[in-house]
Amino acid sequence: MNDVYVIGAGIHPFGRHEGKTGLDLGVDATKLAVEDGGIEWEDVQAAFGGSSASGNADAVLPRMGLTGIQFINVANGCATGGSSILSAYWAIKAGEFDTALAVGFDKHPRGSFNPDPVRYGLPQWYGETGMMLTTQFFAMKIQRYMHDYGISAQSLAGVAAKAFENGSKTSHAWRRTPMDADAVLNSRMISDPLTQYMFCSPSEGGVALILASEKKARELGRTQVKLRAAALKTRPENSFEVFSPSLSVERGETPTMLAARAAFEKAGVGPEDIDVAQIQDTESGAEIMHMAENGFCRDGEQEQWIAEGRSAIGGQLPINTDGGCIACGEPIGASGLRQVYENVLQLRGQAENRQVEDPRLAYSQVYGAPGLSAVAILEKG
Amino acid sequence: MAKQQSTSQRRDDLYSPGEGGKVRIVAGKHRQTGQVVFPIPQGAEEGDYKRIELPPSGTLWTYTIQRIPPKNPPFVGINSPEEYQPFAVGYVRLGDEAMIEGRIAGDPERLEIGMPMDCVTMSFPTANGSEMTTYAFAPANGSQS
Repeated sequence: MNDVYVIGAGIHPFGRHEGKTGLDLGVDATKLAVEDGGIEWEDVQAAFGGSSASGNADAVLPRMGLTGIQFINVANGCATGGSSILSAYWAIKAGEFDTALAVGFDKHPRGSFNPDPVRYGLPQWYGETGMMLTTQFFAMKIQRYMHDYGISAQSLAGVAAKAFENGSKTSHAWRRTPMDADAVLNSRMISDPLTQYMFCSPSEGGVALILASEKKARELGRTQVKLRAAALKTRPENSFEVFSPSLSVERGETPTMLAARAAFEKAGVGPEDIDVAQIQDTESGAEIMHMAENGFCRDGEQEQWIAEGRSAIGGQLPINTDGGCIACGEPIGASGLRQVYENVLQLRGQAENRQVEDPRLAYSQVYGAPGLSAVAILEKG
Repeated sequence: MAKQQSTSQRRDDLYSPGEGGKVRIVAGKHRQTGQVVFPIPQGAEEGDYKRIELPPSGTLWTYTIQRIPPKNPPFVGINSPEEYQPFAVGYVRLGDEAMIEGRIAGDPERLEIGMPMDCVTMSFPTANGSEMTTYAFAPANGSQS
């Protein structure tokens, strides 16, 4: 088995970009990643990429150069980016290729997503009656979690305030103005208990990463960041997932718990070894629940963590150091790759005034509908 | 399959009339595993499930209030910013069988996790001027002051 390195990383800032297509953002990111990796486009041997709303990701090829490269389009909901990097990781680990691109980009219309029930195997009435909204699921999941584990609305607001604080220090973030917890709490209620600024919004952006085999990374002198493990899991029985007209009465494990466990096992490390983490924060409640689902704390301990700033930069485990989805928005195809991009910067010591002090292990977890989670663990080389 | 056809087929077999204005939600119980799912799967899978009626009352497991208008499609209710009426959605645990997601009738501001709920029907006006009827939940008599 080959070790896998992340040798190049490129991003097109997230946000709203009038006059640019989603594809433009993907091409920009790809060019930057190739340049950052110290290679030429002709040297990239395989590619995996995804876009949810901006066409086929392999439309970057005519713009980058028609080298005959094998390109596989990836579609895996909000975990598309995580799935692309996982595919590139497998391809190199298997020894099939020495270099691979993972790319994702998107450009969504404003406002919440309005998915078609049939695409999720659901009857039309589910959407017609007003239940086909991811926002409702997130609200209902955290509402129950708050009831079970004593999490306060103040903590929900605290997570968003941290995101905006971190976003204000991040050049690729969309929302770059700090906002305090009271302002978050008092913003418009969207779906109780979640207010407008606790939610991320669909946005625009592109990210590309170049992965390489150990041999290639050494040859290029680019062994700063190693991909220690990557894993993806789909929902097991008794998991509470989006778009579920019925649930079993027993609550079981979640796809995030399974993916975290698999990645930690492969990497041979545990949650206590992680120095910086990017975890799915579709809204504040998701970050809180994912803190426990990924193993960083026990259920209910988040209340104290947030009050004490333990997940802020400078805390015990800085979480979502670039402001996460809340500050960056969520272009579906790019979102999971952004997390890895941020971790690459953190491990290289290039995260400017949001730099975590000398991190060795960096963790990322992206969750997507209809219930899957992808984890990647990076290590400083 | 035509969209209209699948919609009407489904709606007919979502609930059965019960006593006192309540309804019983119709679910499928897997013949081997005993797992209860709603609605009953259609197509090749349908034969694996036995049709059962769930208890007409239960408790509220979780809920939220849809404060902003859902997009049309797929939502068919009135969603113009001026006329939109926020509504509650929740999961109600019906016995030991299953938790069912549905709209909650009545005042959305008075809901609490754990409160007793009944299975009922509700109608809401649609954007095209007609009405849609669906199963729903409502706080059980006397549980709201």
